[in-house]
Amino acid sequence: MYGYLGKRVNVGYDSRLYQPTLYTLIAFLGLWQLLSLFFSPRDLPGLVHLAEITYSVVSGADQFSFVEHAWITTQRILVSFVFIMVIGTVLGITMGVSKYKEFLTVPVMIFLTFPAVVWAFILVMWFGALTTYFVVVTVTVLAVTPYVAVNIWKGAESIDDDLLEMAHSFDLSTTAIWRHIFVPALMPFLYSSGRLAFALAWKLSLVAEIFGSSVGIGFVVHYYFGAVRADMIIAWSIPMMLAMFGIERALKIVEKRSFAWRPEVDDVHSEVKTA
Amino acid sequence: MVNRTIASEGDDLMSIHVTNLSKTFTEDEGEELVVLDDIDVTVGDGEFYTVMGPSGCGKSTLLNILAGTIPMDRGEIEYAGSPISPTDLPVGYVFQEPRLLNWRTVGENVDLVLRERDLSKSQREERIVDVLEMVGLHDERESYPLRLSGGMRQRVGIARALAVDPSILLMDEPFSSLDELTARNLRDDLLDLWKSTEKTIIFVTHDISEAVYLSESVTFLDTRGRIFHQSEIEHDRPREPDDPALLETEAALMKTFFDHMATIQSV
Repeated sequence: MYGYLGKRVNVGYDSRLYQPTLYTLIAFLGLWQLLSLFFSPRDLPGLVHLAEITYSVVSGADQFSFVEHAWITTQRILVSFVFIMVIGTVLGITMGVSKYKEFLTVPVMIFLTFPAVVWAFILVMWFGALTTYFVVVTVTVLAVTPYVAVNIWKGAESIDDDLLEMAHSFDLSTTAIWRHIFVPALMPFLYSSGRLAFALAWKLSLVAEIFGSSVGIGFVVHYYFGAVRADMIIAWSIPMMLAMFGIERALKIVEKRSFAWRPEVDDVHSEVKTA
Repeated sequence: MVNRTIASEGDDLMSIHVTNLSKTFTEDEGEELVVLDDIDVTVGDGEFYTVMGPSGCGKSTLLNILAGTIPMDRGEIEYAGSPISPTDLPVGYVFQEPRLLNWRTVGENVDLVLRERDLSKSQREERIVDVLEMVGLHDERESYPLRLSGGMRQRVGIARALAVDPSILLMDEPFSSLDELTARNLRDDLLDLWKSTEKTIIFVTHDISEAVYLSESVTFLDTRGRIFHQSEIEHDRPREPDDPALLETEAALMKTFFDHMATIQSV
């Protein structure tokens, strides 16, 4: 691994990313501050004002309780996430390896093209806007699961037939084949699907909450939309954005740790040895 | 140097007799492709037996049948004097590509094929140490395959095949994807292993100099799936890869091969 000055540095975690990221961030915030001078604080708040109102939201000073609404949104995201991963993985593996794949591939691809907003409207019309979990979770699961299924499907298809032939020639049991070949081969796809599912679930839960719920961050955002308060919409979104970003990074680190066998992941010992 | 007897008579105790072996694949378009047509093969105990042929002939299919990964259509296999199902032949398979689990260490890759057998933890441990020592990789036990060179990965493949302590080693063009220098090293190491373990080796290649350098006996398969020639290679060991005498044998065999291919193509 090389630092930005070309010096070799031995650090466990992507240090070379820090400084460029920092520059971009500073440039972005500077631009924001500059633009905010031309708008009313209600439309585009300056950084100081934004920090103040974000703090007031998180500390509970706003008319809506942040803890209450954020907690319900988090629960919805987590419940959706579990359903998305389980259904998506089963669908994806079935599409990749089973004889029923012909029945599944086209329907899943069609689902993939269906807009989440359409799901939200239909489900609200059918079930009303008062369910705590059902509508939001269902919309999110319906909209995100096809992405995971397609991702896992590609993973299942990429499993090397040569390895399976090797396993058969050495008389490995089915359990051993699953444990040592199928599951590890799918792991990269499970991780990337998991991160994708999390990122999409958070966005779509919010969309679903806007149309289909009277509680949750999406509901509050919708309220401030009605009140024409762009600054409050941003202030309510920032804490969840930061939390989701943190979770995404954490997942990425866990992923890196579990792939020590891939040379490109761990740069420190990656020089290939010669025979 | 030659203190092994060439096992051509087939009366050794642990020899393999394959008779009337046939295999036809049906392609997607419904076309039938005969890859092995009524093959008879006799491999003596401890023999280095090579099957030569152009790409697309049934060389690999023959090995896969002996390894029990694909069924034969017709034929009998006899081992140590009695009929045997190919799935029961005591074989270890070395493939053209290493076919290792890249997410498992070298040691775990070897252990993988031992777990299914009735061995205690300490017996498995002993085997792993033994076979890695044999292929010169005892220091790489904790390495992941993708950190090793192609030659080293192929050595792991050989160690894994040796781990199940097979009487017969099946090798499917194991050195064909390596550079020539690495391949030469591995060929010499393989000959040492063969000498010290006294295993029977059934080796498939399309490289005539490799076949002549390594083998006691070379059998030629053609694209119709038939054996058309068999030769004992009687040069003394150790052989030199560029020895003119070997080159002469190679040239003669190549002539036989091309003459034969010309006759089957003109029909």
